[in-house]
Amino acid sequence: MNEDKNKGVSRRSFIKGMGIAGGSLAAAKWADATPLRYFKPTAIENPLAAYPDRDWEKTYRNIFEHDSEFVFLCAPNDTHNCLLKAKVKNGVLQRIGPSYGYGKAVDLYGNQSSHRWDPRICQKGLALVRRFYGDRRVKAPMIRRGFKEWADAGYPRDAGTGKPDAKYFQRGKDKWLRLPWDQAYEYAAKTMTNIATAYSGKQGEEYLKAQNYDPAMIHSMEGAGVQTLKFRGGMAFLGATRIFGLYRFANMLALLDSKIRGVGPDKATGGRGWDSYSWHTDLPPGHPMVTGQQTNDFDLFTVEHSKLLIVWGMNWITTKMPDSHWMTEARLKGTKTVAVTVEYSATASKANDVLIIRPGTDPAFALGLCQVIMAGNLYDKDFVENKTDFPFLVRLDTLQPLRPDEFIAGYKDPELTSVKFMQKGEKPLPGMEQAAQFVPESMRGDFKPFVVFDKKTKNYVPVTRDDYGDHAKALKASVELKHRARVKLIDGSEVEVRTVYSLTKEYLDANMTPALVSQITGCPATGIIKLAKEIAKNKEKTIFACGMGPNQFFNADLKDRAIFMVAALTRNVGFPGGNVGSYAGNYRTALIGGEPVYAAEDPFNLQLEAGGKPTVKKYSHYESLHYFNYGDRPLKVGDKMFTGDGHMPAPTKAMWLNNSNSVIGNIKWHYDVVNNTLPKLEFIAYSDWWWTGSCEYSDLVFACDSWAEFKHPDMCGSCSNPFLQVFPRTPMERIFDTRADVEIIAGVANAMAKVTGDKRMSDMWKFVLENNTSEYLQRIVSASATLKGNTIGDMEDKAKQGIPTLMNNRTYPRISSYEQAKSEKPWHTKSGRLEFYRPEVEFIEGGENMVIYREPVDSTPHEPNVIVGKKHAAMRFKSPKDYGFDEKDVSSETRQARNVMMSAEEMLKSEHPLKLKNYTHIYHTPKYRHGAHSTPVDTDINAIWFGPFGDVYRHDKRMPSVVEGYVDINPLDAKAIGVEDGDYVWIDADPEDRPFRGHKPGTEEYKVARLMLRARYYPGTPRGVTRTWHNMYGSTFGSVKGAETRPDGLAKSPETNYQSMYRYGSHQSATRAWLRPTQMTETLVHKTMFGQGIEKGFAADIHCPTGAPRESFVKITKAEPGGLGGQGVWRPAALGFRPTYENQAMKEYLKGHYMKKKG
Amino acid sequence: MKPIDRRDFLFGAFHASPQAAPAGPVDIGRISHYPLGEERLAGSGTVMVESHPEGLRARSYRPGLAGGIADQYFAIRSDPSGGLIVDRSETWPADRVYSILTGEPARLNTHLEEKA
Repeated sequence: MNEDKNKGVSRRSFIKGMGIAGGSLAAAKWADATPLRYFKPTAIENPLAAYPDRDWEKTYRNIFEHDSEFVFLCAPNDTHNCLLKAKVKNGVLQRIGPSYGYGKAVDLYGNQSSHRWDPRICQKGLALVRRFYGDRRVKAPMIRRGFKEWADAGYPRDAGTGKPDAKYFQRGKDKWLRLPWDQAYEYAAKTMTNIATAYSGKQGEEYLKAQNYDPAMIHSMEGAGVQTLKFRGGMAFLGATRIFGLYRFANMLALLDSKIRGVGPDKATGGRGWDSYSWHTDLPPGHPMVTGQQTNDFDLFTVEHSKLLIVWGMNWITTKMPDSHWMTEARLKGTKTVAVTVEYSATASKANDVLIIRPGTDPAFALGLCQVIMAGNLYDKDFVENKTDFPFLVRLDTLQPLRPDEFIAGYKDPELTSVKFMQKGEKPLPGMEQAAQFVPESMRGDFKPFVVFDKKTKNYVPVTRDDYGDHAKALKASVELKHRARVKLIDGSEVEVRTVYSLTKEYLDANMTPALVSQITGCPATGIIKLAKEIAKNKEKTIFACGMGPNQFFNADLKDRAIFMVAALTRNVGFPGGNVGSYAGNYRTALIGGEPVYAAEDPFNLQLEAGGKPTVKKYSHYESLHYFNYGDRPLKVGDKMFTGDGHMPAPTKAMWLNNSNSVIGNIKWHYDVVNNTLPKLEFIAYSDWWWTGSCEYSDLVFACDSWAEFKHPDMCGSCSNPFLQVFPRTPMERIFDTRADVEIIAGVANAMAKVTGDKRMSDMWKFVLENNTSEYLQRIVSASATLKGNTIGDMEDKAKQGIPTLMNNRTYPRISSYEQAKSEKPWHTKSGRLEFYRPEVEFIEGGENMVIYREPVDSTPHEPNVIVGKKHAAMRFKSPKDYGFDEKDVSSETRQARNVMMSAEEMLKSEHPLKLKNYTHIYHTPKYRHGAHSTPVDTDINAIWFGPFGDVYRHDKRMPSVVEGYVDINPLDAKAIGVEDGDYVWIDADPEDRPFRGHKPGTEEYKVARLMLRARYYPGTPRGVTRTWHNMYGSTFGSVKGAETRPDGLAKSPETNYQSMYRYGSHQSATRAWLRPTQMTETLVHKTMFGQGIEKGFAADIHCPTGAPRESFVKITKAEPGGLGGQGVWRPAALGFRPTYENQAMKEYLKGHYMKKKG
Repeated sequence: MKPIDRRDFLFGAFHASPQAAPAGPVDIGRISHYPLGEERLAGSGTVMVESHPEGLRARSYRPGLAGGIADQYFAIRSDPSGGLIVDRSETWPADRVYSILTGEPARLNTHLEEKA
């Protein structure tokens, strides 16, 4: 080295020096060393002493150093829940990590969970810091200006109709004002009191008639105006006191009704509660039709006990984030994995076999499997004969089960021991003491015996509900599964009878052969046959893990019934390694069986002593939200009312929701709700900590604490894991002017007590107002079989250390139908068995008494909702003519009740009515992989990864946000309609009713509602099928104003900061509400939500509509070029990095040419 | 040399006017510290923060100074941790407030003005 340092260092000599010096830098001090001296070879004996000062590293260490830490619970509606550790510096929550406490959880018996549960966190939790401090936090209680003016004016109404002047209700376009908390409570209390009063009694009835509500809806209110007040806690299982609090409030309103109508507790009624699980289309509606249970499921980690895992319509790897490892670990342990999916998903990439089917054809696919199993006699004889209704005989004249007393003279139905009939006035035992199943005496007729044919003795043998499972073996009958014959009845007549198995098999053989199912679904017949045989080979060892994807189609219940049929035929229901589960939404409230002691405490008889036992009495009513987004009306087609009396909604005049953006902001048919339904409402209140699209259209928004700021404890559980998780109180100071959800509810109740003079309304929330919410939690814990023996104090203390509580379940992992599979108990059905034949009148009239296949109601290139089948003795459904409408009428409204049958071949040749108008694509909107509804998807550091259009700099100012919504389209389809990758396109669904009924092009409302978004070339989706993720925040009047007027072009409301991820419209521009007749029956028998009761007809979240939010058939039109500023092709495509645009380097890369195998 | 009396001296020493001492940003805490309808002294006694339905307004605070000098209103901004900062180097007109909803400047009493 001899260069003069003043001459500098050439690149060549520098590299040369580097080569000599290697990694050993000189020991000289930085301060007095010249650069070249570093390159002298140096021998260093003690590197730690000789290396340069590394104090600079402290800078980085200091950045990540924290002053303190605490634990909070992250619990969006994603079926997981994670206790997370927050690190605080200078009073600011700086970062978040896992608690590593899950392996320390124990139950009361000392059973301890495994550390395989740790670490437990996902990217949503990691990014929460940006949400807690986010600019869209609801920072204080806010009131809409027009609404305040209406209230301040004394709630003036039109004398004839009772309607307020529309000038007060310019929702979405109005100004907002901050309120002090006491005033916010008072406005809510006064308004609800006013509305309940206005719509009570004769005057209320006249008002509602004048407002054109369906008479059946008005009748359902029984004159009580409080029933026009609707409440919903978003997935109530996520908060035993704070979210269930709104249902407690609804129950409390019986006090208000008592005052308004002057009635006693015997006639008083509460407000109405809306459903959650079924509203989100999370409920698999066919589960109660087969098992009687709300949902059959199992803790996800059961999967490693199976040999064959079928992940069906479930993107496990991405949607079950902290629990995705159970699937991959099962595979490592030898479980074969098969994905049944509509695209090549992330989960598909982890599967041994992938079967891709056309969206919405799941029932056909499952029936194809059944056909192979039945035709090949591959079924499990014991399970089928003793645990299902397949051997039962059905009369072909009535399509009802053959009953022993119809053909055996003097036969008396024996008294049953498997179910107790409760006499009128008899009260069931408290939940935990209910060892036996029970039903009201009035339902005795539903539990009559069935009949099987004994092929050995040639006798007909009565089978009662007590003969379930192995108990049936005592009959010693050699069951003839395929029996068909004529039976002479007592009255001398003869009727033809056939087994359920025989009827089903005939349908399958005629319509659901692998060849036909292949044509319907698009899956190769060989794939169907191979999978069916594998399932049959893996008895007790095949797990069907189903997601919500197929739930979102109109034929969802048929899908469930068909999947259960596959499982039942192959002995795969109720076993640790063989079962059916459904995973969507955090529902399983029944796991906290003591919840009614809080949610339904008798407001007339309150327990005000700490440690006292509350009295439960339910005054509130429940109804499905699906009627609200259907325009606040029931399903009436032609001259037929399809909504059963027990399902009938009341008119909605007020609503209060917490923890939920799915009832306005991300509601199906959003723009119809905004433009046609919300104007009928007089009060909308939202409790939230993030300013959502729902807040945009509210009248009063309550600002809630975030999970990190909880000042009242709460608890929740999950359907996918065995932990009870407590939301611990945290030391974090409230960032904004917020309150706890439950504190807000108590505040409104307290204000209502002042308005009405009824102190009981305040007493109802005594322990919340005294800052002792734990008292209510302890009551729930003590009344829950899974929790009794725990104290909420201990549970909260553990939660503060990041340790959840392990629930006391029968098995660990928890396995639904376990006791039934072991023949210890019957299923909660009429027969005590799994039922595949539904003899109720609604099912017969709908052509669905057997498990059959219907085309999707809109997401199909073929004629929608047709029954696929050939003439069959057991298919005697009502025709359109029977209901008073034209058979050719395939409009969306009539289509829901349209029973028209076509053979598979005919159906495949038929066309969607919109095809003639250049509508070309199925457009489905599944839930996004890393989002729980809309909860985290707009957090910028998450959002930028949402598809390929994320750009934190927003180089293209047309972008509504740092990311934007897009439609996935097969590249060949896109090219055929002249759409380049990254172009903006318009998406239009059925113009009859979307984006909303009565839309007029050229209006502001239409501009906001019509969907424009980017097109993404996606070879993973089949041709003819397009997709947009469901979770993104949609356009509002405010966001469109922002996009068109803000200098930065952000689709961000100048008034509220609401941020849309579309410039115009949203994925909900293409969806609509659908009501399905067989989900609105008065007759389906099923288990109650809590305890061992059995009931029939409507039950929120168990038997009620689930909609079809994934169904639409659309036209796609190019709107703008995707290049920067609307010029040319989108840059990544232009550079050759996108599908079909590959440059030479990309082609080489895709062929793997940049990797070379040695040797 | 301009004479200075005791009162002005003390004011200058402890409550300098923004023009005289346009100090940097003043941390005034969080929204939760400002209940609606109240005004609270913040920034070590240098600004009075008023809480209006439309948002917050920061006013210069000069104890003991009677009349003659008009109130001044300063810009309010939020930091990424939910904290509020008064920027005394930027004055706002009297009808401007910091919007609770957007964190942006908004008009005070807009609804009254629009109705008028």
